Amino acid sequence: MRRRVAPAAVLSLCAAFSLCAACNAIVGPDPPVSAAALFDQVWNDFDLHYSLFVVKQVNWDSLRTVFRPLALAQDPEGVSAVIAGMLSELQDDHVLWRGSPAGTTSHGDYFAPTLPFGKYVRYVGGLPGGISYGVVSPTVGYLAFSTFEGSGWLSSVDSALTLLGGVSSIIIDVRNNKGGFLENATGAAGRFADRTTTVAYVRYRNGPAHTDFAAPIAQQVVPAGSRRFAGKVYLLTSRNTISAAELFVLSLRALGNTTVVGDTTAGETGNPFARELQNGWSYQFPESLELTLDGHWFEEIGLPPDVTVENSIDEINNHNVDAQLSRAIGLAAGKP
Amino acid sequence: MVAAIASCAWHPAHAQAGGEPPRQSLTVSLGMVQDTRRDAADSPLAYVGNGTGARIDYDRVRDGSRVHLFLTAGRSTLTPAGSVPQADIPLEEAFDLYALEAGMDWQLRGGSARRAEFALGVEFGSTITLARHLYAGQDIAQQSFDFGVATLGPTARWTHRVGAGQVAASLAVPLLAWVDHPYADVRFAPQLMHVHFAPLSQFRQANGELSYAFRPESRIGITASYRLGIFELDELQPVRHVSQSFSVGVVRRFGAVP
Repeated sequence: MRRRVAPAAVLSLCAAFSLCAACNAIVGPDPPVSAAALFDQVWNDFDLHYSLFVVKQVNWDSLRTVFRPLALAQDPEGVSAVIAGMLSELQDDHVLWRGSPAGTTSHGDYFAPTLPFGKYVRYVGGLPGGISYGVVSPTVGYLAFSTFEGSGWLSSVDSALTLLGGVSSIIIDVRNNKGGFLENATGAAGRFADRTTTVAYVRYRNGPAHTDFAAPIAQQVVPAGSRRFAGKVYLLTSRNTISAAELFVLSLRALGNTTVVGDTTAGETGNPFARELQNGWSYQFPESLELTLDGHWFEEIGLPPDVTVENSIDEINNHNVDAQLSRAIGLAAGKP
Repeated sequence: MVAAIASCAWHPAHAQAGGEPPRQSLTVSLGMVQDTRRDAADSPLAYVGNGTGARIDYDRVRDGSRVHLFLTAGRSTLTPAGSVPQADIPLEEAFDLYALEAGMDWQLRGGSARRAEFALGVEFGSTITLARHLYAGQDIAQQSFDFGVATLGPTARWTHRVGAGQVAASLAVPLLAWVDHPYADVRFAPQLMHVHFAPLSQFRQANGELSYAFRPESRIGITASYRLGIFELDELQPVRHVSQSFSVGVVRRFGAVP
């Protein structure tokens, strides 16, 4: 009896454990892979989670009315183009569609011509992570961040600040920086901070209404890095200063001792939220709304500079003039 | 129900003047777990996978009343339960589960360890699950979908000697639940807790266990357990979770033995 019961019990338990099909039944079936189901899933995800309806002033219900019949006329493959078309109405570079065909819903690149090295800056070197640096004069350094993406990126910032030595002011160029990781943006700003400072706020979507947001969360810059720079900073911005680069602008501005020179930033923010569909397609879109220190959003508006200077293709190509950089160099030299 | 439990507590079948010495046991178990879940805040897809788990049980029995405390931890790697024909990246989740359960039950009838015993009780349970949705090779490396639930409800437990061991079956069906189901991922904003009371119209849970203790009268013994937990939360973004585990543990018994 004893010898029969124990193995039987163990076998019974193992059999029960393997009954995964029963568990699947409790959890329920996945949504069908039909054109209607795929379209509805995307539309609902945006309806529930997209954070920028309050800014875009897009009538999401109307878009459903327009695009859903188009989706229903497609097979599951063809619905991708319809969904991409609907999402493009949002005109949001942070909306990324990975259906087939994949792509962003970008509303076009800005032109941000820059001409840093040679005429204005003596190039010294480049560092991993898209960082280049040089010197304008013995007291004025130049640092360009082309991205805020990459792990280990902040160590390159430390290296650049060390290599620039004892300059008393630095021109930082983020005119062609399309963003990246927020922690890199605030981490880089930490190299210019002497105390923990709130630099911006972020609100996350937290409910089904397009205006449902959680309370603002302070975004802070904490002093960091092996070498902190305490001198004057001139920050070059343009319409191609995007996303995490805009948080960097907010950060340096909040820290003080920074003059922003150039053009208004892009006004494209929002932490991305990734989603997937039942057939494996995926997409991402903003789930948050960035706010300035005084509580205003700047999505689609951008962050204006302290000193507005516009560059032009003609000046760059035909006259070898980078007016924005030239103005920053003048300010660093004490010329108003 | 509560009144019935209270009544049982007040008049336990084994209540005796002077009482019997307490029996205590501490069990450390290891085993395998299988989780199947769907959280609409995370994905429309159901995910399933296997992993490992550990559990510590403490029991104290005296005068027909039993106090128990369980601590459970498990980790699984989940993949979509169904086929996903056009996934451009591997779909995978790292899933952790931590649970604490504490309760008390009172024996209704029976007196001999050789006969079946039946007990009713109440149990407080709390479970936290951490789902890390992984995006290999993407800008977003992972998203975090945490979930917490605290429950209170009745339990029933039946034990019977079988062969040289003892079989125990128990069932807990919480009636009160408070859940924390964040609206979206909490990667950047762990402050986005959303704790709320879930009425029975939205919340259903049942936890069952079937165990077999080898030589329950010995100071050190072995126990084998199968557990099944079912959880449903019907709200704007519904949650379904089924958890199974099979574990083998070492029991150390203190005080009087059956």
